[in-house]
Amino acid sequence: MVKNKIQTTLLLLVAAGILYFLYERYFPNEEKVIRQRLAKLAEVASVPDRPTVTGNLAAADRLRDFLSPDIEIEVDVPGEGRQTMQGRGEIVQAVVAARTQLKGLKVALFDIHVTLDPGQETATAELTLRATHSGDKDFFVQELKLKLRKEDRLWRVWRAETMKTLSQ
Amino acid sequence: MTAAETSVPPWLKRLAVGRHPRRTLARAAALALAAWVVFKFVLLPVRISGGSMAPTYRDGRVNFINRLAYRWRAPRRGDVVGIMTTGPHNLYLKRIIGLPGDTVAIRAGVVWINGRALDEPYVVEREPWQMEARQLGPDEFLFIGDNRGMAKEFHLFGVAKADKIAGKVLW
Repeated sequence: MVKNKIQTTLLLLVAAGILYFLYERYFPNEEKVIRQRLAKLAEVASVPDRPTVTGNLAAADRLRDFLSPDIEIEVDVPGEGRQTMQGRGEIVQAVVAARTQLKGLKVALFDIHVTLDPGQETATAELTLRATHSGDKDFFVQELKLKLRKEDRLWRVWRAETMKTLSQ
Repeated sequence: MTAAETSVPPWLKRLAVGRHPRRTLARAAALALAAWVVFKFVLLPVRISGGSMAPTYRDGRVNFINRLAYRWRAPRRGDVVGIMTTGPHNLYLKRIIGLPGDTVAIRAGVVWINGRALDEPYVVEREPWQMEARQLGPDEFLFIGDNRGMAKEFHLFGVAKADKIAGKVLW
């Protein structure tokens, strides 16, 4: 009798788990959608060990899909101060130029905190970017704040800026 | 009895899963759980990357961050701590130089705290860094790496709040 009850409870728990998994998979909440988009963005921003011209152009084209046309980027470059770039075209061009100089760069995003604005049409993501050259044990770390907007049912970055954990 | 079972010598079976496989499995699960809890919530394993804490901590060394170090006491000047970025995946390893309420300044590479030069035996080389005097807030700390022989622009240092401290370096 007790054994049957335990078995039924376990079965119910497993069924609830499967239902939750399926619901999350097919009806993900906006926060999860943003996290998935950012994971794909990191994938697109990474450069393979043997990049090709066509591969770089394809990656740039895929990158376009993640950026809003009026995107603005503000980054702190050590020794150079704050640099600004505006517009998707300019940024994609800069990325294509940078990719021709790079080989084997793995971009990963960690500790992503997503805050959805009321209405769930805009959001802010604070995260840590880690870029590692293949074969190199050192890596580059940068905290970023991304502002995203839903355009044509896709979350796109419309503002990106570097953040500082340590301020002076 | 199957052919596969007969092919495993009993001593090897006992060595692999013990006399009581269920108990061995439970012990292994408990050990895995304990290791997960310890290395996730108590001792965070870190590999040092970069030279901003040289010569005290060299590039490539492995260490641990004790996440419970400041549970019962406040962080002290001179402690080497891990500072979280947006989370604990990537930590900056720095030394606590200024405490909440301190007035801190750097003149010709020497750190001044509340108008007195700070004795820093761990600093070997000094570039003539400058930083205007500023008073730290009630919850703010000043963190600087030990390698002051590099240009200030390329050495990440500054002020952060106490909640950014992940813990104290173990050794």
